Amino acid sequence: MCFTFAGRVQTRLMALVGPALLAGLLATIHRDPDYWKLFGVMAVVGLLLDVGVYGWLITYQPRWVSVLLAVAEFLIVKWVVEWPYPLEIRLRTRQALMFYAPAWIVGWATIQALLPTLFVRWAEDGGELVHLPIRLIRNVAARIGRPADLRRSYLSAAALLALAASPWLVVALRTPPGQHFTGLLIAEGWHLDALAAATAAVRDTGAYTPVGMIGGVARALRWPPLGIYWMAWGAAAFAWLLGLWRLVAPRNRGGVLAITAGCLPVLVLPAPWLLALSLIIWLAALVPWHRYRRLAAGIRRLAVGCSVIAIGVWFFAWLRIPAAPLAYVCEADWQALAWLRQSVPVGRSVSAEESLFWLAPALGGHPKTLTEGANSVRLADGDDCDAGQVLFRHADVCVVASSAISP
Amino acid sequence: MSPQMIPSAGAGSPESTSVAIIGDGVAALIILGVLSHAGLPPEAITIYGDSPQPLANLTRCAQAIGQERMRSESNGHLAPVDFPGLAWVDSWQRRTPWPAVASIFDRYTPPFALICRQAERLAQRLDFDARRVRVRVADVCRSEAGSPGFKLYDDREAQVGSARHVILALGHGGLAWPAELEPWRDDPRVRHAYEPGQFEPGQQVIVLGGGMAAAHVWVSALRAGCQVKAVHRRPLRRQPLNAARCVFTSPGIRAYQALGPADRDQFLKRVGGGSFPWRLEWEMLWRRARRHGDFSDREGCVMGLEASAPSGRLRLKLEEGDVIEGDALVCATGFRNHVERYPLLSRLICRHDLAVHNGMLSLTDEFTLPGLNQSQSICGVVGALARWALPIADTFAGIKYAARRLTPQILG
Repeated sequence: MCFTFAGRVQTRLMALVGPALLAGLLATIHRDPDYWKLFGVMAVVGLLLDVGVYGWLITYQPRWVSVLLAVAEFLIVKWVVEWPYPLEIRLRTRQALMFYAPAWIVGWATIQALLPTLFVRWAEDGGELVHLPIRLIRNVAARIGRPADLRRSYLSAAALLALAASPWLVVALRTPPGQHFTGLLIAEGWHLDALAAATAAVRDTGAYTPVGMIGGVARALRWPPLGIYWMAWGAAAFAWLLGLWRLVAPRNRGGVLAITAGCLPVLVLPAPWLLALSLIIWLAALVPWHRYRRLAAGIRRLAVGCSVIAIGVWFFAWLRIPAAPLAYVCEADWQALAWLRQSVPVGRSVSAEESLFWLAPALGGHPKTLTEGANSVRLADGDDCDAGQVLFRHADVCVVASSAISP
Repeated sequence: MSPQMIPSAGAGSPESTSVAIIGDGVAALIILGVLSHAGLPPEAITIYGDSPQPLANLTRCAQAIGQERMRSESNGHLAPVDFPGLAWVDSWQRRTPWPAVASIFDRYTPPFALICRQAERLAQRLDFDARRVRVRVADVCRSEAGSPGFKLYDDREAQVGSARHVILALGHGGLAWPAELEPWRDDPRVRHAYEPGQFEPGQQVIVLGGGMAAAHVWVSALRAGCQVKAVHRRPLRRQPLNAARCVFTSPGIRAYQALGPADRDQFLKRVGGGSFPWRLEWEMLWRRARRHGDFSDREGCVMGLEASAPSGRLRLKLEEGDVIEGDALVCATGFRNHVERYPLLSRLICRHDLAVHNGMLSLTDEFTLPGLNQSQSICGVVGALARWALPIADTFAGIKYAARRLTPQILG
């Protein structure tokens, strides 16, 4: 069957009714709310895959592909369930399978038998049960494109992102043993500021900004914020490029330039800005901007300039590979910064030398300071560790208390 | 048979809801099912036609080409509700899981006999014959001003019925022949694929066409011990259904309906070109026959036909001066659905100045004729004539699609 985007989501939601009932039944029988959490993971994973992957790559979905996707989704659900935080689901694989398999069968029966019986037009309407306003749908659908265009643009955006990020990928693959890759290759200042805000947000709750959300996810999963930050950057960069590809569609020279220009934000902007840009580009799907000729002409001229700069920045990133000072952090520094983030109370500042001075706010979660004071600690190494009260030590790197405060 | 006045409730009463289906073939059966399932009372529907049974034409054509299995898949059936599909029905009837398993891999095609049995059961359940008036409608006119509805007339201009809504389910307009072969239509050595005929062992048979009918004729002729020389205008195309799968659902249909007239024309020409599915038994048969020199195919355009003697061998002339000889010629060239082949439509087009595009009725995307619609009274079109609104309108799925979109307009 060929689904529309809205049809996939609506069908998925309808197919989740049976598994929801099954989760409730098992949770009641076994008096274990983990079955509800498992259902939640199953629902969220399925919906994210529908909107983020299937809707773009799969035009026609035969039944045997649905079976294969179910296996893949189970493996993803199993991986998520095994995260220690935040869900803390304590079901064993066998228990999870005893829920997942019947739940999937019930969902499949809903799609194969119940929906076609109750809603005779369900299959013809691409899985849609509730029809959104036709004009809006047609406008947005026409802007986003036909099924074949969706797959082409999805794969093209992925390939373009891989090309734009290739310097970072090379640096990551060349990480020496005992070092951690930070991702800071060019435009380090902007990324450090954003990382500092995200790392600080790991402790603060209630910040509904992009950086706040990055920090919130890191806090919930108890993962290092650096990893979450670059995952968010990658997702935002992909969404930006995909939106650009769909809306500009490189059918001519102007389109190619716009796509090339679109790599400039990917190369230099930090994750929060990219998240905002990707939201803007998708909202632009509702505006027929190409009808405004002056605007379109202005955007084309801007695209020419930006594409030249983007190519230059990309080559500059390659040239920086051997010399980026903040690209790698040694294991000892990494552990010290993690300890700072997790163990030093909010309100303390950090003094350090050289590269650690710049990384302390971003990876340690505390503001940097040039002078020691009552509220500061110091990152030190070697003999300097013997000169004060050591709060933490890993190899030859240590965190030393300021002489004015007690640990 | 003398015409009868429509006995249905509401005839002559503009306030009642009544539907007249012009045509009593498989499309009429499907429409009757869809409307009944939607809640329209049976007495509000009348069917006009003079066929012996709903699948008469379809059966005749299938028997002529030796078709035993449909091209459509499990959901290509006549019932108003898609579930259960024919794969499930076949599995249940034969107590074997294999049709259902094959359907999961899109490898199931229902036997023609199963479709016939389903048609019989459906016609019985819906009381098809009781809803039918055995007369061929030759004209449809609007009722007098102020009362929404239509009046129906036979070819002697006698009124045979009236209805608030009319649905034209006229089927195919007749067999399509290449213009160069029109003078040969009465020659016993030349026939259309959908006309009955026999193959004699040892005959050399020329088959024109590259679609589903042609593929069946190649198979039938080879199994009868003939040599087959296939000629087709375009490269042979293998695909499971007669159009890409997404054209059967919203993603493809919306993309099609967003096209302008010129682009729709191009699209329909592309989809309308012949194709057939890949089937292992067919491919093996053709491969074996090629190895023995019993089967050959080539691209070419027909320029003319002549006979070496009055009842001798035929010589088919192709462009570039090529000639192919054979004992018999079969035209597997499908149907001609140009509006001029339908006298009823010709009258409606003249009277209401209906738009026609390259021989196709220009419908709204809701399958109605814009020049004939009034508030609370529509003239809908389904089947081969509705291809302007839906490329797959001449399939079971397409007829059902159109009927389902006409239903809310009829129910109001």
